Amino acid sequence: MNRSKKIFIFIFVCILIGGLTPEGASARQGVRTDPGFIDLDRVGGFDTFFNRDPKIDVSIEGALMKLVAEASRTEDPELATLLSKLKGVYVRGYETTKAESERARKHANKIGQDLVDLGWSSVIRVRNETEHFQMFAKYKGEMVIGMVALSIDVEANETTFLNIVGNIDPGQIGRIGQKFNIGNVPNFN
Amino acid sequence: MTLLENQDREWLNSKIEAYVDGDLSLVDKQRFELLLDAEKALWEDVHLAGKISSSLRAIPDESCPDRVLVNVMAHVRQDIRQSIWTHVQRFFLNLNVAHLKPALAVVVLFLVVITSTQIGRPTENPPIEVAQALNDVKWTLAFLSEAGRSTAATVKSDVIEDQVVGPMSRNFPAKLEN
Repeated sequence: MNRSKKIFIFIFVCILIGGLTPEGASARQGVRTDPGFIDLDRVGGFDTFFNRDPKIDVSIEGALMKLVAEASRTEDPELATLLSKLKGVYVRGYETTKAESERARKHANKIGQDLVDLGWSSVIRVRNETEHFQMFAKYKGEMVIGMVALSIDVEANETTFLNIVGNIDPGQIGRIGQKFNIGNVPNFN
Repeated sequence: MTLLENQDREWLNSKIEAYVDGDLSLVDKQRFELLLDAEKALWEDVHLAGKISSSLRAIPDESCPDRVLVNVMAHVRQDIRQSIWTHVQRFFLNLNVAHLKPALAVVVLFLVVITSTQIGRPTENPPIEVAQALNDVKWTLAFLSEAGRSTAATVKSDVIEDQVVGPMSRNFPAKLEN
């Protein structure tokens, strides 16, 4: 094992240990008390709604979020800069039948209302025969500190609910996100 | 009266102080005393030198004033530094580097190889948990980006074109043509 690999593992272990310490726990707790955070399981309630666990279940926060940002620094500095401003990324994705998607579209209206009641601003809402897409933002002054997106795709039989916490530049997310292919992640495909 | 050659006399005169102080070697001392026996008058000079030496030794030592000592030591240090620097310069000027060239070439080549292997070297692969998390984050960003583009396209086609551009072009065709 060469020296740089040892150093990398040492840093990784330190960060993991840091995540287990009270300070690390408080960092995680800090994200979860952040105004830009929402508990997807509580607000969406899709586990109960669909009566099954999500097929995509992503919760990246605290030390892991920092580690992810650093891991991408060499390969993609712009992505690393964006990720370094984020505190957490949470995704719940469900594979649904057509009937479940139709039901979910009606459930989405209630979720949207709950978010507005919690102080979120509706940014985009698109509803047509095949899809339902809503996006909400939480502002602190003029800065976006949280983003929630709910997508129900009837044709693709997919329902996705996600939350990003941190200092968010939607334009930067759109630009950087274009570089990546959704199909690269095999969860839905 | 003079029994000694001039050469012996000069030698004798030059050694009087050393004799009085007891600094002569055994051979010189024997020679000195042999010559002295040959010319007894010189014993007076030896006695006189002994008295002078005793008197000088009897004078109490005076300590050097600090100001003088500091200056003297500064000069001594300067001389030592100058001496060291001169030695170093001489060492390098006299150094024959011709036979060191192959060794120097090997060292330079070694440094070049090490540097070239370090520069632009890909970083170690992150642990699988981090790689998976990074992949998930990329997917999330891609999903949001795609959703944004799709939504923008829907708004453009279903709202702007159908609800704005269409009615305007129908109601004000002439104005739009202009």
